[in-house]
Amino acid sequence: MKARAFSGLLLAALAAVFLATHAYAVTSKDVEKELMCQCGCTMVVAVCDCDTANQMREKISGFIAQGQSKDQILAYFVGQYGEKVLSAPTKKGFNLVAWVVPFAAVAVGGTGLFFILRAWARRGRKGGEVEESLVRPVSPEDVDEYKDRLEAELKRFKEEGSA
Amino acid sequence: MTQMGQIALVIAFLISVFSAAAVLIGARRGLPELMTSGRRGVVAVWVLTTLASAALWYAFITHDFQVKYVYQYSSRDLSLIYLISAFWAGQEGSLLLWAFVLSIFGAIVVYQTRKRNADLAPYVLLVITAIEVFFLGILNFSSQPFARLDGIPPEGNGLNPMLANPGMFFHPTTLYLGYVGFTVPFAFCIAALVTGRLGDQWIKSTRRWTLFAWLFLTLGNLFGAWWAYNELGWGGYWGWDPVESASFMPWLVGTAYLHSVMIQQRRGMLKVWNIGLIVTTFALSIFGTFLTRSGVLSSVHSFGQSNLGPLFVGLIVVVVVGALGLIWHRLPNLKSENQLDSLVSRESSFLFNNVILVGAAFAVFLGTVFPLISEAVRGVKVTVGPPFFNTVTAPIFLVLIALMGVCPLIGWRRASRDNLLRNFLYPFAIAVFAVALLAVLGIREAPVLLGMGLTAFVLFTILLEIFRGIRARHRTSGKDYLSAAGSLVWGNKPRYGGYIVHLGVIILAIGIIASQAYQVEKEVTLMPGESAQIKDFTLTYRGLDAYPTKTREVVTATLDVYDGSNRKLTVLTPGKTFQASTENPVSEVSVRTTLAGDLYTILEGWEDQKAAFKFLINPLVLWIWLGGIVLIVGAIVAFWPDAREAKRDAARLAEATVAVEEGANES
Repeated sequence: MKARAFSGLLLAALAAVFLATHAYAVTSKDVEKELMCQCGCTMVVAVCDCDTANQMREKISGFIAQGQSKDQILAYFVGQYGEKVLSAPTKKGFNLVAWVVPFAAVAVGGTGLFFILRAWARRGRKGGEVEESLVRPVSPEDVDEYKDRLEAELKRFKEEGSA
Repeated sequence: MTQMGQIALVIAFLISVFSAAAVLIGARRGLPELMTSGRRGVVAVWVLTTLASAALWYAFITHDFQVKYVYQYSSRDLSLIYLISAFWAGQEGSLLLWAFVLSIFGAIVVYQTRKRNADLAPYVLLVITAIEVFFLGILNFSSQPFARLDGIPPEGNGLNPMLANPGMFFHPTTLYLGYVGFTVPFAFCIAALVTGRLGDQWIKSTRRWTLFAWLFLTLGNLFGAWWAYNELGWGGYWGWDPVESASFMPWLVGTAYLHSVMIQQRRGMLKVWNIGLIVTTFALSIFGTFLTRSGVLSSVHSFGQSNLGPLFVGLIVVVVVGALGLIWHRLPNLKSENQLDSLVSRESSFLFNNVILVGAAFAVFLGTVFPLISEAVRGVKVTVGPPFFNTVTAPIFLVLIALMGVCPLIGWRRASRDNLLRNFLYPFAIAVFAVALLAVLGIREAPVLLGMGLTAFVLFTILLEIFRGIRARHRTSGKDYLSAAGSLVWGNKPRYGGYIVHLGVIILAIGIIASQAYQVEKEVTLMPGESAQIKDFTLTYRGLDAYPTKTREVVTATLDVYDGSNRKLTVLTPGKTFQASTENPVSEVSVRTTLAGDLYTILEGWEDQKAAFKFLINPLVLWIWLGGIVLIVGAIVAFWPDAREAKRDAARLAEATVAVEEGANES
């Protein structure tokens, strides 16, 4: 129950952060980052400094001054150049494959690995039971003695090993 | 001289064909003379490609413009250093560089296997020579570096001004050393599959090769980032260009391999997985070379597009299908008794790290080829640019960083609760404290807080571990802390080298997180004498200068930089250079670098004396380069020959020799 309440809280916090980041007014930088420069430089408009990028930037500032929303501006450029002008695939339709599959792969891989490892660990434990039954618990006095012996042997090993 | 180079390439091709056949038949039929002949052939190929490379350099340095390649990529006014690096400015030279580096590695392998690995060596050399045949074949038949023009042009075409940068010297060479370096572990892996000697011999024999290739691939990527940052002039160091992604993917999978082989060495598990990883790493290296050269995807790296695409695709198919076939063939011998003592152990944490690394590589791969997939499925071209890669890989990398803290400190076999508490309690507390401190300082972005918390956690787990080792050594040996630290690291180079590499990666990650999250940008147009402010800096524009240099026209603006208390810090001179042979000017950025961050200035344009600038504050970028240096130091420590290891190897070699001799006597 506690865990559920905690995860609920966490989700709420994440949602708050998410909403907060979306509350800003649109700036030309926001739009420029979502558009690719069309001069062939493979950079987003925000960072390219060629003439094509300059023209696109001017247009974007113009649209923002007219009070257009980010989606409207992006739609305009998609109309002009096609979907390839967007710097990332849209999050709908077939494009979702690109967005979802990496995470799905990691999740499936991780979960699969968890079950495999658990099976291996079980197998390991079965093999280990016999061994464990042969091991006596060590008393505290023994521990001290073992430690001394280890120290002495390590010392000897080092002297001989370095020679 | 150039004719000699061309002849050398022809002979090198023929000899590599012969060598491949000789080692194969020699090994199959048990003909030692033929084997020896084949091995000598590998050395001969090295001598010949060296000769060919020397010939190409000679042509560049003597401005032999009748050689088409020299004409295309150089001119008389280039300085010596760029004449040398113009070697790999285009496709033919790049491929020759590949063949040249591979031939060096082939000769080294011949030397290394003169006494050991006698069983694997023929097939290792077979793989290496087969790949040499591929590259030398291309160099002889389709992409000839020594092709000649009919006339002799008085002047060359010149080097693309973007390539006239020290980065041109280091980025391609280190990257190729990395790409080509992975050929050797790949070749050993194939040899192990062919011979059925599937123990960890091939892995032990290639530990250094793998580290070497990994280090240079890392360096290649970092030099590329540094070059982009200082030359391309857009204020960033990584743009997720397809070719950047292509060099990042083998790095990711190679890193996974570097870790997972440790499990095979300790536990004899994961044989198929390791083979899969090294084959993938190698195939991705070829894929990287292919992407740069094929022009399938548009990229800043496509300097010349060509028809080599199908050949490279063919090679990748042969590599992958061949390896799969061999794995299938050997599958009964590859079964290992997979057992774990506990779910919480080093082994399992390494495997999760593998899932994450391979998952990241897959995400990058999917993003890189998605435009092609989309076009095939929907008939619509889409772009997969930086926003996609940043969004998709950031969470994956955060998990990776977390695992980086956890993995090295979980005990092998089985981690007890005490072990976990002992290793993680303090670092975790420090990380929480660090996050709280950052929050108090005004950092509110959740991803940044998470990232910084994780890096702090990892940083302190490593430091704590190193500190404990030093303290223990100090106590047992009575040495002072400094020499205890020295002997600790030097006494177990692979392990502590690894820790140092992790420290480097963490420093690098801190730089990346900060510079990605807190870049500040300002665009202004100023008249001389006017000032603009960005954060605490005031930049006063003094005026424009235009002057010619030996090779180009340069226009620079002078900016005085003052801090908040109006103290003059430095003078920056961003500019643009014009080269007659190209239309577009190239930005020359001017940067003030400190540990806290870079003040990065770009001159965007001007009209008379009025100038347009872009100013950027890039926080902690220096940390990226410093992290890179730490990482290199760590990799060198891990690579360094180890006396104890050498002793063990010598003993094993003696045993093996006895065994081989006994075997020979029996038969």
